[in-house]
Amino acid sequence: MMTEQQIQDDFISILQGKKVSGMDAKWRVVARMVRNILIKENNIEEQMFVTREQNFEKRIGKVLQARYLIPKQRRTFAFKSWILALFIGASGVYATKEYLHFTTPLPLELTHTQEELEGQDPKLFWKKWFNNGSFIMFGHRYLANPVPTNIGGCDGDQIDLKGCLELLKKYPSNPNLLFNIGLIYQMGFDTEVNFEKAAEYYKKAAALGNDYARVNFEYLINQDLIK
Amino acid sequence: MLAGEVLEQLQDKANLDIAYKSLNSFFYRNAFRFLMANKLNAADADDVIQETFIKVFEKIDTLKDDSKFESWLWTILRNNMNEFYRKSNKNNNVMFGIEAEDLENLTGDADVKVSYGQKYDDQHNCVEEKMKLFQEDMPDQHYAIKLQMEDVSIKDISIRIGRSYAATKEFLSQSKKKLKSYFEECKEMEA
Repeated sequence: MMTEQQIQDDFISILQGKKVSGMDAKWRVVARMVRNILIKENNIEEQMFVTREQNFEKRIGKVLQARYLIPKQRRTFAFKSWILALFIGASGVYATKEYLHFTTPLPLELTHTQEELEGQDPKLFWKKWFNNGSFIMFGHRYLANPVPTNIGGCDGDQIDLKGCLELLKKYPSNPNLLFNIGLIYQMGFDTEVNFEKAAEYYKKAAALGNDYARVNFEYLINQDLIK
Repeated sequence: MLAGEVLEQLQDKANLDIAYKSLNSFFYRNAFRFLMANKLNAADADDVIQETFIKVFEKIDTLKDDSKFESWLWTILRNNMNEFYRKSNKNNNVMFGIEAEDLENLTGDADVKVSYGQKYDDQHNCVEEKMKLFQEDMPDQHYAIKLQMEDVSIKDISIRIGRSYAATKEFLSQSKKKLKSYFEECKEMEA
């Protein structure tokens, strides 16, 4: 006959998953059922603990930081983001600077700089940065839309070297005309491509304050197209 | 993670940002289970553990005997729990508080609430019901039995419940007795 103490000890041993011999069969069944219930409880708890423990770790980290009990964590993610943003921005600037040049002839009347025109018409400011609602950063420099001109022969519609050179005799100090001639030589619109001559005209136009010519001149240099 | 490793990180000021994570993985689950066994809800349990963490980080330099780190930790937790009950006027729920009173209660059979009158469909349902009753009536004993089931040593159990080794042994013995008494009715049923 088993003592009360023995039954209790065996009961706990069964709960612990140990093999017990000589135990009362009825108590053994009950003990196994209790063990299964407790294991089930533990499993449910364990599932709950996984997320609770992680959440608590975040929470206590913040609390301890706020009380200066642990050092503030370096925000490496934010730092990396800034570096990435800077890199992308610098790449954008570099790319636009490197490959920026103008391929559209300028209207001969346009002797003002873009900035001067912006002062007269505020809408031009937005046009500089946005195209059909999209932010275009430095891309606006490609969007040099010529305005109509009454000087025929060397504008966007009817550009040819001969006509332009004729006009040059009449308007030798028109920077846009000089730019357009430079463009003809650079692009080979009506003649052989000649970067040296193009550079020569761009230089003259730039000297007269034409920023488009300056940019195209820099482009020729950057691309090693002239010596 | 061992208590000694956690303590080392806590004492090394350069590792404090790792120490709280180690302490969390070492202590959180057991503390949470202990507080749940003491009838705190999950949110309150987290608050009590949070206060414990703060106190540990504030007072770690005052710990004189490194070997008593774990019991120091549990003492802080129990004190915070009691403080929580005191503030929320739930003193009647305080457990593991005064050893002498608890032991007296344990040796008497007056508080054993086993309902013999109910009929159960089968033995398994009976055991489940009785287990729930046991947990509700005696959450601290239920907690102690679970620790024993997980082979937690008597020494570790004594640290958690804040009793001496001998008192814990007696407490466990009484808990076993109580547990068994709940299942007398189920034992006679057919499985």
